[in-house]
Amino acid sequence: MGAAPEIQTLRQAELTEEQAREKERQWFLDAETGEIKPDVHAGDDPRTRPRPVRAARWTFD
Amino acid sequence: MTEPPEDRVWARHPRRTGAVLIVGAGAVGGFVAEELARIGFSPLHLVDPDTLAVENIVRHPLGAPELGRPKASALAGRIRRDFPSCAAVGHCADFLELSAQEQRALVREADVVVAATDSAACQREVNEVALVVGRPAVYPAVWVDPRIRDAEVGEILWVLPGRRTPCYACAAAFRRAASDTQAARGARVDIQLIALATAQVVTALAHPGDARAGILDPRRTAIYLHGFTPTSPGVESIFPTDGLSSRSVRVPFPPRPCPSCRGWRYVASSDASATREAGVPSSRAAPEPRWPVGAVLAAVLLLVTVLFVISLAQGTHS
Repeated sequence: MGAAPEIQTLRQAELTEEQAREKERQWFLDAETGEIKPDVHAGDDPRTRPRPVRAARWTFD
Repeated sequence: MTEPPEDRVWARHPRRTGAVLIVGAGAVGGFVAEELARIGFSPLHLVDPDTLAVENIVRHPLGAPELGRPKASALAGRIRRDFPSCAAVGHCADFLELSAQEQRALVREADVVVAATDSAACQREVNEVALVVGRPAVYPAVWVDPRIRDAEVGEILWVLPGRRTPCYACAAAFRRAASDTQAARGARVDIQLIALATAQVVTALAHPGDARAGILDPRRTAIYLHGFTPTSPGVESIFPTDGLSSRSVRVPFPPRPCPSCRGWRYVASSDASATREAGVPSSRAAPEPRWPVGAVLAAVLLLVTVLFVISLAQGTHS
């Protein structure tokens, strides 16, 4: 029988501080450009703000 | 064949009822239809002009026995057979080629409309008719782009009529070219994930008083889903982790009046009314839209300037 995983394994599965912060961030769809952009808040560092994501083409037949 | 007793069919899963029109009975619309039948919706009207091709069967609810048959009627038949409590009706027709009366009649009979086609023009037409008739509508789609992996991101836009939310045209101003809608690759599991989520959105719109309606936030009417595939660099800022996740995104009204719903940013609808209609708890209601402070200040400044000029002119004459 294998040993039970140590608690460290669970800790590694948790979100990093940065990932948790990014998960909380609100986004909006800019319908003119087709980009999904992060909401900008006072005090945001523009260098670390995530870049807009271009909404891609869609389909299905 | 003996029909299964209704009380046992719904014994473990209370039935949710309502009529749904599904325009597009392809990979997305087909699985949405099946899931809605399982939830209890009836009747389902399916509209699609195409027949089932060999290339379709790896990601469509229908299989080899239905090759060459019209997707809408074949799928409706399958649903009636598998779920006798669902009156599914197939219409082998292009929604765009139906008369205005036929389009409106189909939409009017529905409690919720789903547009799951691969045609930008058709999605827009469904939007127009749903707004005119006053029916909520849902627009599921799948992102396919060279920069991301196959069918990695699903998108579900939902719209309440009466400018209570931005409409499809408000959200998809950039999607005009037909080349943006070419059928492409996609894994069945990703499509089914979107279909399941779309069915839950339809249920919430059809039953705004239901606890499930809590998944709808009128401030954020675009739902993005990330599937089981590893996260592509192109989308990892929205989905910072691998695996299943969803994100509700705000869709603003456009800066100029929308040609379809006439909604625009500064005279948008009351979010409070949207909240009430969609059954969303009032604690989640957004603040009432306000006039922009800059515009008010500019108007006051202009008024003061005009009054000053008039008083100067009067002083000169006297």
